[in-house]
Amino acid sequence: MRRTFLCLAALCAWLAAAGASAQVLPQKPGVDKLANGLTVVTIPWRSPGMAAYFTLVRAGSRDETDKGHTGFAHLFEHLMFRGTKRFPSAVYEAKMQELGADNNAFTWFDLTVYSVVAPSEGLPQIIEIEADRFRNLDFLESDFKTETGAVLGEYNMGSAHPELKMDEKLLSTAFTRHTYGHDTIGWLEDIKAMPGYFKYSKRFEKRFYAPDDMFVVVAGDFDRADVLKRIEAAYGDWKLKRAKTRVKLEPEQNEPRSAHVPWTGPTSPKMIMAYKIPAFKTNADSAALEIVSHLAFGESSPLFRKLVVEDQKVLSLEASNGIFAPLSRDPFLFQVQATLKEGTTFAEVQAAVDAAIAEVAEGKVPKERIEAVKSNARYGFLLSLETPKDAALTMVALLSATGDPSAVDGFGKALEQVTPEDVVRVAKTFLTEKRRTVVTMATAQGGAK
Amino acid sequence: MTRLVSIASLTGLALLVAGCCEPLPPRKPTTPEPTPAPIEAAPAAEASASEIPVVLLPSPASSSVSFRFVFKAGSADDPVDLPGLTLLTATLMTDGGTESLTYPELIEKLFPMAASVQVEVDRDETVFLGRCHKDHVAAYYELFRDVLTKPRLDPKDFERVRETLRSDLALSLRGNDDEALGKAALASVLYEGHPYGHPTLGSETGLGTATLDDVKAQRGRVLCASRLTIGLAGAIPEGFADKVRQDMKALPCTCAPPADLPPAPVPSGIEVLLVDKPSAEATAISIGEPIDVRRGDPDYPALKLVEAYFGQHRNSSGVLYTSLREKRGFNYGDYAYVEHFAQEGGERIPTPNISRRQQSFSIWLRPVADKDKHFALRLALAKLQELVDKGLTKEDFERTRAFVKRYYLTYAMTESSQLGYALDDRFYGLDKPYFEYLFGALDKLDVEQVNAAIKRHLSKDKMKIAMVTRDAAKFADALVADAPSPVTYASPKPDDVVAEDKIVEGMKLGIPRSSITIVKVGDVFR
Repeated sequence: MRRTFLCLAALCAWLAAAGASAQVLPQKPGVDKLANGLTVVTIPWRSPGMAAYFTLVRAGSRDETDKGHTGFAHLFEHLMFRGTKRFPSAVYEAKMQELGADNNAFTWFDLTVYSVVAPSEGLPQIIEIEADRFRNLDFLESDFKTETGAVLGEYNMGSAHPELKMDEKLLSTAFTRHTYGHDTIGWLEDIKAMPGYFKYSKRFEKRFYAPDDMFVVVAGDFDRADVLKRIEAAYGDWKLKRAKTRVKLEPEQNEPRSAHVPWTGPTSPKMIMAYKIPAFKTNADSAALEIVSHLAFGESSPLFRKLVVEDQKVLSLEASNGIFAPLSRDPFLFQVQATLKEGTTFAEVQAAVDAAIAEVAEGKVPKERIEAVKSNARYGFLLSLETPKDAALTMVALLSATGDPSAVDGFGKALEQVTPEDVVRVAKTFLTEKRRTVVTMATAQGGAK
Repeated sequence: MTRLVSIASLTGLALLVAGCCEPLPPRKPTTPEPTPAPIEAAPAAEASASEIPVVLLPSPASSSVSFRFVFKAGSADDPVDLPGLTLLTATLMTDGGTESLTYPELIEKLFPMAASVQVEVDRDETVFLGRCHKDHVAAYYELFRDVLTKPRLDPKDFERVRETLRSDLALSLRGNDDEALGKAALASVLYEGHPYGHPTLGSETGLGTATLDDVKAQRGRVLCASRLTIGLAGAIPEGFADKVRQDMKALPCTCAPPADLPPAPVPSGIEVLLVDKPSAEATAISIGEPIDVRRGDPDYPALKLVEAYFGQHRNSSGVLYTSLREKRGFNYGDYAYVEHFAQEGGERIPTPNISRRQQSFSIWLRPVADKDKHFALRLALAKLQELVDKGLTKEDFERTRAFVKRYYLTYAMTESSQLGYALDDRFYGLDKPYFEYLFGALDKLDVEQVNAAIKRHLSKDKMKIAMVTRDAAKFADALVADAPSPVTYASPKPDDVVAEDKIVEGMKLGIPRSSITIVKVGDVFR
């Protein structure tokens, strides 16, 4: 039995709090904007002696508009650990170690996040060290080249998983112009060419790492006034403006698309059925699509019962809605993923998925089931928020898509207000054949048809 | 320490279970006689569930209740002819409904609560776990209880669960996850002929042969009252623990005693298992040796500190990480462990309740490019040799000790993980909570004691190695030839790296052909 929602899925799964007017987080977050545009969000949390310090850069692989430079946002995340003149990388690591910090980072389509979780007593030093590396990063060309090797290693690590190749194929088939057409890790040939782009990496930093489109989120047990004072002192006179990303608009998709990926090793046949959906907003469309993903394809859905439990045609079935489902800045994909039992055809799974969507679009789903999904979302969210890290992660995900700290409450409200009519409307409008891209995978020797 | 776990261990609460047991189904005859874990129930003296220990971590301010019900049972209890049976049994319980609810009906009941009943199986422990909002404790617990005490065990669900696990083993593990495959392959050579030698998924044959009657018998033998410890944390209602203890009377009381483990095989030199996988884009490397040290043993704190220094999991300060990734850019990361480790979901922290009666030291190199695999292996072993020869400096020791005492505070930030640690303390017989025990012991250590412990327990020359790689036969030739394996980089390296490379590339490993085994990926765990 799967967890109903994993933490990240749960932040997506979400933000439905107790009532339409209630605030979602236990205590209202503080929001302060420095003169240079840096926004500081402080979230009090019951975590004695511990705190999370997250820095959100609203740039990711969506911003990789230059040909041949896919994967650069992720590479740059790696480079951010290469130190400054004041704290060279070995010193930076030693300092973080001394503070007992769980220090990490991740990059996705719309964001790059630097996360530190540590005893709160270390916050003064963490603020100082983090501000220094954002303002004064200083890496050598040799370090740059070495880091490109680590990125290649990361690609190699993922290459054993069919999901990477399927994602690559899905994105490049569904998006013909937009930068969502490539995965965040980048194309292999671009990764291999990275060692030659040292100067480009410096330009990348100047374009996207600027305070006016960044957020610092601090969650946990700390003195808010003291933290704000220190952040102001450490970041306040950093003056930079982020460059505008000129992402090409993706033209409307007017016919179904499909692609197949042969897999050279053993694998169960897999398929993704993806539908173009609008950019995330704290509105009824985004909220209703999230409800539909669980209503039609979750473990409690009639489709799961039929395909997985009764007919045993499919080994797993799940849906995700958007990027950090359902949070994407531009129109993205509602995805239904299935792992097939040998002998099951792709066509019969597609037919069953079509029928499940039709059921929703025709308004045949009982109102009680919609209420059950909303209850699941509400409690899933409440259960997913246990640590300061959970709170910070939820906040940065919403901020990355909207730039608005009140989006947490806004989306919670939108979820509570979803009606059966909203559910019908989004299924009819967005989960249609002409908006669909299907990617299948089976062993090169044969497998499902 | 701000989050030290306080434990109220309510052991010794007698439960009268006579007459409450489910009868065991007759055992299917198997040959040869399975050892060390026969299917039959053990003698009555061992089978009594007269006491079920309870570990409670109440937190009235919490908004949820966490459940961790740990059985001293795992894949080490699989009959030799049915590897994978414990996982199959436990998964059928969570994924097969209850006597009164089919699996879809069970899911439908759990769904509005955003709750689930999960199970994790390791070598010596199986934990059923879940968490619910305090609004739902009674309703959720009723379902959780029935999954354990009244599982449906329906033939159709059995076929579904078995097929899913078979696919996980034969297709996902072999075809889709070289890192996991490398670790499983290492365990198979570290513990060859030992109950720890097969993965929890077992083998294709084992899964294919098992019957529903085998599952029912296994449940009676190992997922039974006298092997259970109940764990509850969070907003536990008054009187709830007593009710749970009463309810668990309904578990089978036909337990077989855990079989004694034979000693782990001692490597006589470096031994290598190459999993030949033509489609592998890169090479996954796992290295290890059994060690006779567990939590609570005198050398455990010293070795735990060595782990943090040499290769703290997914931390960029370890020696291995610095040498292979940071300086040379070979891969994504390189780590070391002095006890079995599994990551908690996407987090970097260890998951609790994978306690083992026997432990091993291991090194995990994440996939390296094919051209670098020989050198990367040599470098990891060279660093291990250096660790054994030179140990830590006083500065290394002080820095690492301070790191551990702060960083480990991030390990138990949820009530469920705190509960997990408390249950592990019971498994290992610790007389105080784990972090208190560890930090207290570290305070009393000095660097000389740490370096002496390294020499007592670690040796580069007795390592077993598992690699998932293409061109395995060619690589075996290279290992036997022991010729230099120089590396090239995209950029010039500092003098110290160049000098070290010169030494490492020619380092003799002395592996005879007789110590290398090649197995085709399709034959692994068949």
